[in-house]
Amino acid sequence: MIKYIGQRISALIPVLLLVSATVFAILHALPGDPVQLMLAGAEAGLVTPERMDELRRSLGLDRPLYEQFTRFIVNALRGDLGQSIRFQSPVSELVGEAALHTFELSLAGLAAALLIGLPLGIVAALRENTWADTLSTFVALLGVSMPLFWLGQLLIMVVAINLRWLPAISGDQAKGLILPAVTLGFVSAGLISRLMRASLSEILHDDFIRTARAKGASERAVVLRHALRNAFIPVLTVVGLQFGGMLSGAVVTETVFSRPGLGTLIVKGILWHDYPIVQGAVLLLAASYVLVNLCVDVMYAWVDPRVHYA
Amino acid sequence: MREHAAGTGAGVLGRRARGFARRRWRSPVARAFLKNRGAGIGAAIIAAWVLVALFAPAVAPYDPLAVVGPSRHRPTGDFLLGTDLLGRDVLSRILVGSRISLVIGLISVGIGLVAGTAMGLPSGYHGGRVDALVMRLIDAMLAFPGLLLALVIIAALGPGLANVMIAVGISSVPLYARLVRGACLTVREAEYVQAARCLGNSDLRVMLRHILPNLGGPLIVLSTLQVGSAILVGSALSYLGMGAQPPTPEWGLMTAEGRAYLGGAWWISTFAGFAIFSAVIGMNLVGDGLRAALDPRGRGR
Repeated sequence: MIKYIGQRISALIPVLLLVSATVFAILHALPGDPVQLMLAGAEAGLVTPERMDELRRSLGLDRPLYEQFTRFIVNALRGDLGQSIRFQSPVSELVGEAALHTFELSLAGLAAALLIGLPLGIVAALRENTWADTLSTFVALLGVSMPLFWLGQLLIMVVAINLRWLPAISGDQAKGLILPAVTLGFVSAGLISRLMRASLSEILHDDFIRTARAKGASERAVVLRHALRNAFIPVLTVVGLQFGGMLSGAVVTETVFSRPGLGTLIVKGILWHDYPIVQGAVLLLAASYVLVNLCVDVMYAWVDPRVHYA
Repeated sequence: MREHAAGTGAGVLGRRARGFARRRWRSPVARAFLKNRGAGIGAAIIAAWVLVALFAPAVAPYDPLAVVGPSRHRPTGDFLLGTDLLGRDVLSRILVGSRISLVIGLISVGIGLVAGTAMGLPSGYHGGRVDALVMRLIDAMLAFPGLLLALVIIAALGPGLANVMIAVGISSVPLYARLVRGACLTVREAEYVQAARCLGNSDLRVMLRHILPNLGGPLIVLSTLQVGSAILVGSALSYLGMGAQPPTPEWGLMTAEGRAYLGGAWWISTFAGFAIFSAVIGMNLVGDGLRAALDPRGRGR
């Protein structure tokens, strides 16, 4: 097991390097001089070439690309992601603070997805081809077809403005997290419910369930103790993968609910041409996504004794 | 037997579809698709949007860019879906906006399909070093969850509609590349491929003339679903301000423009969001229908 984890972690290093190279390459090698983009009015000739050269030097942009990249990687490993151009403060501080908000939202979104998806899937499996089953299919279809930002706005309109049940703008109170979490978790809720239904209904037809029933176990015990435990295993992988979706969905959800976070930071960074911020935030998001996937795989091996890795 | 099974559908619509299916479509795939109710609904929605997109300027009651009424006028006979902040007709903007969304969907899928196939075919066919290289590249792309890759590309290219299409297209490349590679791996050793090679066909010819046509089904299903997802991602980028810029009547941008007026003027963003939702659900229903129809195991049920 430890060997397996070690192998997986070492396989991560090239992926992470490639990810940083991709971000770096996309933001540096493509057309568009960052310095010109940064200094508004540079194209109109309002900024002197001397000023532009100075900025280029201070950002190290006059060095060859490979040198810039090596320096970027070495610094990133030390936790230094450079300076934000707009805020004049270290990117790692800005990104670190934003990341806390985004992870909080993603976790809440995952919780919402599970709270909606699991019961729906379980009821759908236990009552196959009834309204509950149809509902779970419908929720899944809605989830993949509804724009997240529209769902969020509908929730704000109905729940926050008309019914006044929950606040629309999330301050520091936990109550403000409910609507963003439901918005973010809805897509996954549909997928989780469908998967839970498929997995549970398959298991309910298995021999060992018949045996449990034949022994005289109550239906409750059959479902809770025998079927559910096994049905969760395939759902678990998807839940893990959904967490990655949460990280990206958070980008939009944060904007809808005016929450601080990595998403709003990336959007601001792009609009303000503050590319160190974009670089840092994107890198952190991608790295967490890859790490979460690793954790899921490891957990999968740990939960299901039948899974063996060479 | 099969004719009989096709004839069990009830209602005028069912009967007409059946006659249509029997006369024109001999293929069981088309017949299975036509019998699927969800796929029918989806196809109707998409057909409606395509018609709207084709005839938008003629159908729209007003100029989508012109100020034609008071600001935030509620939906009435004059303005069926109300007016937005500047007093432009929401209905006209949505109708004309269908062109943008459909074009985003089609072009970005085109980019993803072509680039993904170009990467997946040699990767699956040659294996070895080519495959390793392509797969690493795809791993790196897949490390960016969902919207993120598109956002990074927009960050480099700058906001704008054309860049949205490029960004959404590129971020769907891994899906196509993996699908094509996987399928290519399974048919690589097939006899007809070996035969084609023995006849002296070049690798490129074998890939394009003998392998690619066999991947048609899965590629069509993926592309249909991807059109929906491209519309979704594209509108999300515009919602974030990365795509269409004002005053373009783009659905995502319109939804964003109404965000500040959810209490008083709910119609500004609600209808625009619904337009996105309807187009995407239509594409998803058609895609699911195609997948079911192309899967021989599910046919005839």
